[in-house]
Amino acid sequence: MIELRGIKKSFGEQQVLRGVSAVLPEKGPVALRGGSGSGKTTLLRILAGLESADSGEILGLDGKRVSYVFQEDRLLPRATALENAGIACEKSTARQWLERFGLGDSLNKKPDTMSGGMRRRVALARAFAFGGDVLLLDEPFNGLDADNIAVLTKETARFAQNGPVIFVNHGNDLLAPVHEIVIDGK
Amino acid sequence: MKKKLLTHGKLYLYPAAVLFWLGVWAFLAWRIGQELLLPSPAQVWQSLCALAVTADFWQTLGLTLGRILAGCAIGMGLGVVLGFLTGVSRVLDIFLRPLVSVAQSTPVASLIILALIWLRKESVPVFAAALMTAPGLLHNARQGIAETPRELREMAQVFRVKPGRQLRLLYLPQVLPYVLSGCAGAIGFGWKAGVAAEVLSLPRQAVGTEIYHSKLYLDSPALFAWTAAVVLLSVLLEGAVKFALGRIRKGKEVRHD
Repeated sequence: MIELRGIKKSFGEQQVLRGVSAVLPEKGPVALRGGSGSGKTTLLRILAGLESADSGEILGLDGKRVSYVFQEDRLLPRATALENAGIACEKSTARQWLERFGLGDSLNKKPDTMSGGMRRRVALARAFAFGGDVLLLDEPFNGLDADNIAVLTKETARFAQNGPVIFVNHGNDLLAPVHEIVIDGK
Repeated sequence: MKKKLLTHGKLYLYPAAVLFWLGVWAFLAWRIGQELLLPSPAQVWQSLCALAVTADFWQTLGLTLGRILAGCAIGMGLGVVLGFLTGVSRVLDIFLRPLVSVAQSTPVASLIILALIWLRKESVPVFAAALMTAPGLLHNARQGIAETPRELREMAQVFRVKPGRQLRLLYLPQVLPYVLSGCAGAIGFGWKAGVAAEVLSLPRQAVGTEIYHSKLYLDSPALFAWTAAVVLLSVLLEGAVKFALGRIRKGKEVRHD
């Protein structure tokens, strides 16, 4: 179980997180809610180990592998779809995930020859191919059509059977969350 | 159309500029009238032709070229590796900075004299060329690493990408354009330093040694001829490197498309 205790974070004079506390379930979808600029992405970054909190602590995350779908695709510009998705796993695993997201015929394409939706799917395939114990999703629907939203929802639900999936998604929920973390940002 | 006209204009201008300066040289040589002080282009050409028919001339040029290219290759390799390491390690960067500053600011002649004490005289031009090429490549490679987008570094951190794969997929493509752009200039520096080192260290069969002997025997046409050979070889070498780098860049773009 992952527990957040009084997580605070400021950037200069601006305090973004003002003592976030929550106990996350062992598995299942967790919605991260809050207005624009309330610090949702900052909290995801802290969970991913990319930022350190000014104060507070996170328990139960040590040694866990965190997979992350960033708000941006963050693909290597000179690498193929297969190299991008397989950056941290076997090529066969990456290939399977790319095929699952409908990119089986675009394995050797590079990001600048792909549409926004295709690049998003490569980023999703990379995160799922990596696997991990915790999945973080920041605006994962960006650029996806209805068919791929359905694939993403199905795969996220499958992941959530074994571990927590923490997602930020304006508008519709990815899945019915079993837990919510609300950040007011005030 | 406009671009084409400009290109044609440039093509005509280059030989015109060379001819103009050859004319200035010929005029000054005629006015001075002393071969020892300034030989005419015709006298230098005659001297160069006389040298060029001997096997010794080509052997000497080849050996000098080999020494300097070996030095440039060592310097470039060292510079790129150290640039990579200082790009990823702030501590190493801080530790190496004084050494790089000393290497860059010390007059090359002082370093050559020191190298004469430490090394065999045949190795001194290699050392000098390496020393002149390494800092530039180090700087370029380090800059390439520094310009690697933070977003991609974070991605590699989250997905625990192995160092070898990070190097191949993240850093090498980022650093390569910086390294390539530094290569042509580095060879120019290495070439000049290498010939200067030969003049001071006088290895057997070297262009620098021949330049020194020409000066010693007050044979100005030979001095100019050897210098002209160095300049021509340098221009050819730089052109060849630029052509090769252009092909590499083009190849990368084609594969990229």
